[in-house]
Amino acid sequence: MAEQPGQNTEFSTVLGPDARFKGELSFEKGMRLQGHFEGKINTPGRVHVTREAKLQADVEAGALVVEGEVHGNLMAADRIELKQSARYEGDLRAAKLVVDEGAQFNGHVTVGPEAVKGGNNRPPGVPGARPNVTAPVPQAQPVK
Amino acid sequence: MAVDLPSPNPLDRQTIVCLYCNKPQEVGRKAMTITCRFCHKALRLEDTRIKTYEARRSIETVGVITVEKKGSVVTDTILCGGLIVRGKVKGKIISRGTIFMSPEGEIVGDVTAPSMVVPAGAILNGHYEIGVKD
Repeated sequence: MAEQPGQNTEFSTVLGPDARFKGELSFEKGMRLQGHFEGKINTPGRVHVTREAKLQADVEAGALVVEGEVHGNLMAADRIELKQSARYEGDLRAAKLVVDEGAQFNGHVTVGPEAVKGGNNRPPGVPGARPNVTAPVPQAQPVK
Repeated sequence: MAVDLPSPNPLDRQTIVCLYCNKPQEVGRKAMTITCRFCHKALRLEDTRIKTYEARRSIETVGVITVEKKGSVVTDTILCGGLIVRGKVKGKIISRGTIFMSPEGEIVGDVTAPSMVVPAGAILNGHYEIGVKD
């Protein structure tokens, strides 16, 4: 497949169409997934799941573009894009979501600026979960 | 003596799908309400436009519901032929057609639809079943 100019600058990591990866992966810039991935992805950069790719993972990323098949929980600090050919099943949490007509998805969706506030300490599978903050309990005062 | 009756103009008819039994049937294009000839339930065919705050038990129409920018709907269920959200919707949505959102749209509630278009900026919260075939 001919590479487009500038392709490698955005996606310095590429998992080819004949590759199969099982495990945990973290990287800085971006990744283009063309093969099969199973496990966990953690990155501040972009993840692009191409049309022929299959992803079965919990992903925490800066941005995600889905054109293929994804199972698992996704969390993006910036945005998630589900293209026309996307098939997605899982819980999704992102500041912005873009869905093209024809995309299939099933799962709990939390999208908005509030959705990713508080960083990554919220698991994407728990809708509306908040950090455990205990309010100070007012003490009983003796009656004068 | 034979009388020439005008043949029914196909443009005067439209095919709709019942919201409850999913059966298609032909109805007059100008009809506003009908009774489903299969499940005998009453069906509204009109498009609905919501421009202000509205709290209702349910909104059911075979037509398209448009919630305008200043519109806000709080309801148990919306059952519709299509939905355009430019304002706020709170409640369960079952749409037989595509749901279109605008960047300032907000939906809080579970959504079932054959397809959905969401631009960046829209706020969503709920369980979504989009394009999932039974």
